[in-house]
Amino acid sequence: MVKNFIRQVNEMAENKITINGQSYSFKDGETILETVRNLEVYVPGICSTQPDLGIGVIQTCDTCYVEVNGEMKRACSTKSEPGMTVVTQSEIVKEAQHEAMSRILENHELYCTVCDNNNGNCEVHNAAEYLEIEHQEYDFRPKPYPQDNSHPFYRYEPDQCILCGMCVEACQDLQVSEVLTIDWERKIPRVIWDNDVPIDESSCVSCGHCVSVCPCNALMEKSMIGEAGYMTGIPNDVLEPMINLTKEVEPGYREILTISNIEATMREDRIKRTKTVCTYCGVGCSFEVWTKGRHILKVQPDEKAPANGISTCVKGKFGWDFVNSEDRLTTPLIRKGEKFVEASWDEALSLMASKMTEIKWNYGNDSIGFIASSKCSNEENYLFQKLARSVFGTNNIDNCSRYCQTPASTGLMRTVGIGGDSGTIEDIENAELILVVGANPAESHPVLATRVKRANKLFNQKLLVFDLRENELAQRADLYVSPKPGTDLVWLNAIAKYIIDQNWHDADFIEQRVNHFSEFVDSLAKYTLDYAEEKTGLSKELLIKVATLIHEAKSMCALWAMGVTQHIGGTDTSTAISNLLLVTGNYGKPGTGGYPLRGHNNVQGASDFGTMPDWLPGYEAVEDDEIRSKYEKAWGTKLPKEPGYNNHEVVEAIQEGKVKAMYLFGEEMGLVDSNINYVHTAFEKLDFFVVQDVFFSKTAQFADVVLPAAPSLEKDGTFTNTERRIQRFYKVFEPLGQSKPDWEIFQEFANKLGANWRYEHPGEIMEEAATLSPVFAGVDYSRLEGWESQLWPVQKDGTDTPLLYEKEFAFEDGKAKLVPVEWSPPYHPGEEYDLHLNNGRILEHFHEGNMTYRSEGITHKVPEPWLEVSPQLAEKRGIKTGALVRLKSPYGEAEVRVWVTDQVKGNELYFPMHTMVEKSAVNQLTSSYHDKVTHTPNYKEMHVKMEVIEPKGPSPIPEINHRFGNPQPQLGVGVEKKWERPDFTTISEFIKRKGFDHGESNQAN
Amino acid sequence: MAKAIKQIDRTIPTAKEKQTEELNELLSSIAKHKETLTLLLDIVEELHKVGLLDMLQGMLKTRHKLGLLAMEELDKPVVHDLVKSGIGAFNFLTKVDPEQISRILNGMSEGLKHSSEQLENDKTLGLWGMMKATKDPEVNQSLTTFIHFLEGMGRGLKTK
Repeated sequence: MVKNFIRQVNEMAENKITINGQSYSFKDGETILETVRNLEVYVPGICSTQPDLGIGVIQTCDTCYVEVNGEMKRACSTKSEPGMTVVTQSEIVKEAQHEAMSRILENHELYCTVCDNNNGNCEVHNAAEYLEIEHQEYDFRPKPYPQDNSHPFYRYEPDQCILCGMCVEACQDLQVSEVLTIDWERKIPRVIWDNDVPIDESSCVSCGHCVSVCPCNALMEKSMIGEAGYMTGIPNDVLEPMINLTKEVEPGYREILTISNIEATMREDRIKRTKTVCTYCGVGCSFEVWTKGRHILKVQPDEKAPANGISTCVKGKFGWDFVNSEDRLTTPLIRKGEKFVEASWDEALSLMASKMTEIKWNYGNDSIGFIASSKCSNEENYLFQKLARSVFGTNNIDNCSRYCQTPASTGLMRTVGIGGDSGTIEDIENAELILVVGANPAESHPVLATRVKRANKLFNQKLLVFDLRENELAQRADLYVSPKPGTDLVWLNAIAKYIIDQNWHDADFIEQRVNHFSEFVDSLAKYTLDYAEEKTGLSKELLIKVATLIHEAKSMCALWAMGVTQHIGGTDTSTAISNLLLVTGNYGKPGTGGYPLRGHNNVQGASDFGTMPDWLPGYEAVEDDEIRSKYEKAWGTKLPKEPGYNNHEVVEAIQEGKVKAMYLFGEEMGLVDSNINYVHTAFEKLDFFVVQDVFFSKTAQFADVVLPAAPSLEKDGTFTNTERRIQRFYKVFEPLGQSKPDWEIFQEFANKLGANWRYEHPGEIMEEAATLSPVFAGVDYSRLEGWESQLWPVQKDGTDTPLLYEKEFAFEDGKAKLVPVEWSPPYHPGEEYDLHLNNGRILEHFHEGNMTYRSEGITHKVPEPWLEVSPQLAEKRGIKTGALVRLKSPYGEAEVRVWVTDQVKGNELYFPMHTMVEKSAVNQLTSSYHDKVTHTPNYKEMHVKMEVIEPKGPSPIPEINHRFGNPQPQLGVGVEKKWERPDFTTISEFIKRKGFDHGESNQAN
Repeated sequence: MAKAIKQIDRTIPTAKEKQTEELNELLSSIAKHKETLTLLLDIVEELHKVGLLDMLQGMLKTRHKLGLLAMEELDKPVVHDLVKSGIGAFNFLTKVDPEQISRILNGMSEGLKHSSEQLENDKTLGLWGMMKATKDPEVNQSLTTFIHFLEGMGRGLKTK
């Protein structure tokens, strides 16, 4: 006793805990389950197997019962405390865990060998095996509910559902779509969708969280069913008696589990798991793709994925059918008269070499334009700019960040020095206040949005949303503000002025770390609250409320996207956001900073690796002689000094006859550039046009040579996400037909022209980039293996920079700059165009949709784009959902069906961009006006006229779309309701009743 | 000057061209594995001669029906018991030390040999003879082993 007491006193002093007789240290705040797992002492805990959901928040499975100071407690929900004595292996613990597992098996049949989830990672299987369960303690009880197979991508089998509620937790508190609950009130509980409707009819956004976290086969991807196992394809009428036979015979689970382990091991031969990085937005989700031959069994995220953990959205989880589409380009094509004919690679590349050399000789180096792709890898972009600069001697190269994000990068480069997010998603999660301006992350950056929704729901993070539309984040916001279109700069400046006037600015921060404060203050003189009220339509009271919220938050992250950048004043408004962050000291600390949300998977990386007319890789100026000479020496060629044409200027240059040939890859410029009629006439004027893509795009129709490229799943490389995080993706399949990875095509083409490049693997291209560009000095494929990633700048020793500006800003004197900016009123085509046309993305589709429309399941949910019309406007024009209307701008016209929704107000329209049908393309209507600084088109500044073609008709959105669902918000799974059930006995009570001795636990001394 | 065009002339190989290509691929594969395939063909020929291939063909073609039939037959109490007994016997064998069993079986074999030799004598033992026989060290060894066996079995029976 005395010894024990002394030990306890010592342990209390040292933060130590005794586990199974041995003393260990633990971290403050840890639960016992976390402590034992860190020490690699195994304790089961089915409902705590996904750390992203949190350990000990669910508490439904009860398999983690251990003895704590002689009492039976859940290890997941008991905090480790100094001096505590924990026993994880004793008769009584075994009995408790056995009871918990038996209750689980009342809900779940162990027919593992014929189960598609028998892949070595089934939590129920593994726990049953660990606990040496031999027989069914309680008879298996089927639930009186049929399987739900209504959803195109996954099924729910109530009979196999152990009611752990991990799916509910994931849906309610991680994805925060709040669709799933467990109805604990009914006689036999089950998971329900919305208020108990078939899954397909619910508000389920098909993100796949529930399926990914399900610890057994209750929720399963349909692509797995009957495909994963060797015997899972057996028809039901044979399978059921087989399961029955096994049950009747009851050989004991040890034998069953052994056989199923053998079968699971055999599956390793046929199922390949390859890590990849998603290509559907800038968040950079990484996950494993499970394949059998060319069949995609499933996409399985992992808690180790740095940007997303176990989170995905519908596109990343389910949107990969396009890879095996019959429409893929599989052979080079050459235009012969009025048609394309198939050609060999040699023919196509030889033709390109001779034509482009001829044009170069006749019209000069700058008569050729190069359009790169923000959907392709860093290495491919690096190689493409090398091709343009060193082989063709031109800086006429740009990528599609020009259409979206260049103004944001420029705004940041002006003020803080680096054109990238200033921190990571972790900072966004941890900020006290999130300010969202002109962005719809819940649809455009779904996984990043889940972190904001979760922090707002669970951790009191404040959310302030400025947007024209009341999008999902706006609906959840603490304060939603809808200013007049194109007036963001005005309220941003007015708020900055008000904060300074109130003396709420961070004077110390500004004094020590920021230049040009007084000039900045002077520039704000006209941005009074009165002026702001007049221009933005927001009341002074509201603006003061916003300023107060910002002032009261100890840390703030600002998130913005195309609602800010795609304006005449896009760069200036981005600058104004950064100015506001500087004034309030919101840089360089955890939970602060500016976050332009990158649209495509590699918008950041394409620019980082030099496909820009004025920058070499790593944002080193092409005009700088010293820098150019470094590259000239490395590449052994002379490089052009003058910056070239950007995407926008190249179209003008074609129209003016200055550019005669163009080489474009991975970009559907013919649909997604603004004012596409003007772009099409430019394409028609080209003497020679090469288009390289996965599909025969609208742009390809204008080409002279079409080259078949391989998508990300068919090659190796790296992408850089919105956080500046470089991540590797690995080849899953061989390229289809004769298609090739883009980097291989560039190399073969360059070698046709005598370049003599010898890259065998993209890793070697990255090695070259790292040697030349200081910001990537320590980037190396060996440091990027598996789930590893690096956030640039990366020092030579591999040290990366998750949070920028902790010590200094990226200018020579280390100080940030406040840059005065003036408001540019948005473009208006004239009074007769009476409706404002907003445009952008929706959750289910990507870009023009040539990948996502090839998924049957996604198209089932969203078959075509629509026009969002406010109820007020619909009433005025006498139209209903389903009406067909024609929109007219001075630049063209488009036809689309209407969805009447209060997401938009008054004379606002919202027109998603995702279509492969030319006459429904929003860019028939947009103009060629652009941001003053960066030439990014002002997509968001258009007014149109609307003509009604049919006042009613079939709805463009099916009834089964999530937008018509009925979510059921609650906190987590509501385990308390389970505990309140009259048939529930706690495990400790059960053990007590069973008569185990609760005296001294089994101790050595 | 190039207008947008959609027509692509795909050289779709004719059925015959496709077949020729596939046959060529097959032939080169056959040539590569000549020895293995010749051996396999020989085995297949023998299987065919004894009629096993026909049987296999029939079973494969009617596999769904056979599966149903088999399950119908198998999913019955008698079979459940049979399988249970089988598993029990299997478990029994896994628990026995092979050396022990070999020693006992060896003894049994000697016993069988000796007893069948004596069977021909057609001589029986009287009560006295039996008592006397227990003193014979070999008979005594067998009886002691048997009594120990009974002790162990009793213990086993008590524990469920």
